[in-house]
Amino acid sequence: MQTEKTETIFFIILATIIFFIVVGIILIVIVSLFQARKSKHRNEKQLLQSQHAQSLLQTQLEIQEQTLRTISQEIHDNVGQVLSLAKLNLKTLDMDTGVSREEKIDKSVELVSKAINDLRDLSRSINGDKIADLGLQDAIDNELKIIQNTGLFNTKLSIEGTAYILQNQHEMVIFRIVQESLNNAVKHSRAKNINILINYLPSFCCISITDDGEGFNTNLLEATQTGIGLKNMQSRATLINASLSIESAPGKGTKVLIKSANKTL
Amino acid sequence: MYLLLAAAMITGFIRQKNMEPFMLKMLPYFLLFMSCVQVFAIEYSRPLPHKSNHWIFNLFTPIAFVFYSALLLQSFEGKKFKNIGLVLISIYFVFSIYNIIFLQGLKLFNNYSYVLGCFVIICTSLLLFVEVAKSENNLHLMEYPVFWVASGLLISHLGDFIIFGLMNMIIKHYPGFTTISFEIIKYLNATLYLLFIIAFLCKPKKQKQYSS
Repeated sequence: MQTEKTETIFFIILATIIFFIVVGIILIVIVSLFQARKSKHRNEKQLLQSQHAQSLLQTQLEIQEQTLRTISQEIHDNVGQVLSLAKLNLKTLDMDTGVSREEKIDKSVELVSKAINDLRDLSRSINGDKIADLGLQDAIDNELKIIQNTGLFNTKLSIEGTAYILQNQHEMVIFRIVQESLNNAVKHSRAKNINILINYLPSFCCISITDDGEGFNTNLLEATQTGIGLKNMQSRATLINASLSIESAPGKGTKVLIKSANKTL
Repeated sequence: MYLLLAAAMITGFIRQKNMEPFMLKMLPYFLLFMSCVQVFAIEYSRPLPHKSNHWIFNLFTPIAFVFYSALLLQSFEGKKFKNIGLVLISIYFVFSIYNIIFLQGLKLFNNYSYVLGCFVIICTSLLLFVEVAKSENNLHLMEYPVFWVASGLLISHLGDFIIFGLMNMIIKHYPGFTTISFEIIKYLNATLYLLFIIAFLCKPKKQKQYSS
């Protein structure tokens, strides 16, 4: 009887010791697993952040590259041509070409003025600080005026709702998307009219760029170079959590729609 | 157990340079000191088997508990937990002195103080676990040696807490358990030294912080 009692007590003491030690071990395992899970989650978050930063950098580089390409193209195709003409006029002042000397000088002055204006427009459209100073609305208006001045297109900017300022970086990215859309319209659409509507809604700002040009089959975007340009626009919009949609069909013009949340809320 | 103690000491001395915080660097020296105390205690009671060596352990255990607590406290980042730990170890230290002078004296083994010391170490280890779990830093446990030290201290002192808490009862009513109890303590100490070895093998990334 006494031995049985002793054995029971021995068992109880041993079980208590084992129980406490097992509880301790379980606790250590739980803390280890919890911390490992937390660490994994944190690493995934850091990876996502770095991927986002990388794609932001990539987009910035693309924008820079495109800007340089635009400058080079503008200088070569426009300013360079105009100044060459002015130079030709001035070189042939003393030659008998059937045009009077005064007329040639006037024409040269006109050409140099045009070159100066073109350079000013170019400077305005690529200078990020100026875009920040002007604001999105005026910067877009400025772009449309430049296109209007070519005499090849009719442009119109419409505003709906009460205007508000978006985040600086967001305005810059939206402006670059609008520039790309306008560039596409000018180069490929053969449109007569290009219209932009900025609709300031309370929760988001909606910008639509519409042309009445030839349009295109949006299903064929994947394979073409234009498709790459449009994808860049898409990735830029994603960067600022904006949405971008393109509606187009052959013969029915093109509409690019950008929606960006009103972060001033 | 002694082999593991020796292995822990050797690993500690080899890896000592890379270790942080300072008290962890001191751990191999402390283990050496502890070994010396144990050898001395055994040698002291060897000529006369009934000569009590309890006074040696009664004087040594407060040092051991204060050292382990200091090691854990030095690793705390939050002041709140550090203060709680400081209060607990101070209470223990005062009580252990009081126990030596007024209660159990030097000749009897001070199991009241020992149990309280175990309780303090268990609480401090648990506080460290809470801090580790709540930590916002990117913490890899294999780069955080103090976690393994705390794990070892928690497991061994949980066992010690119950055994020494019931020690008087065991010796008085069930003397047959005494040997088994000491066997269990040996295994718990072996676990402690094994976890010390893991701690010494960790590669701490950053000083005094949970790595980044």
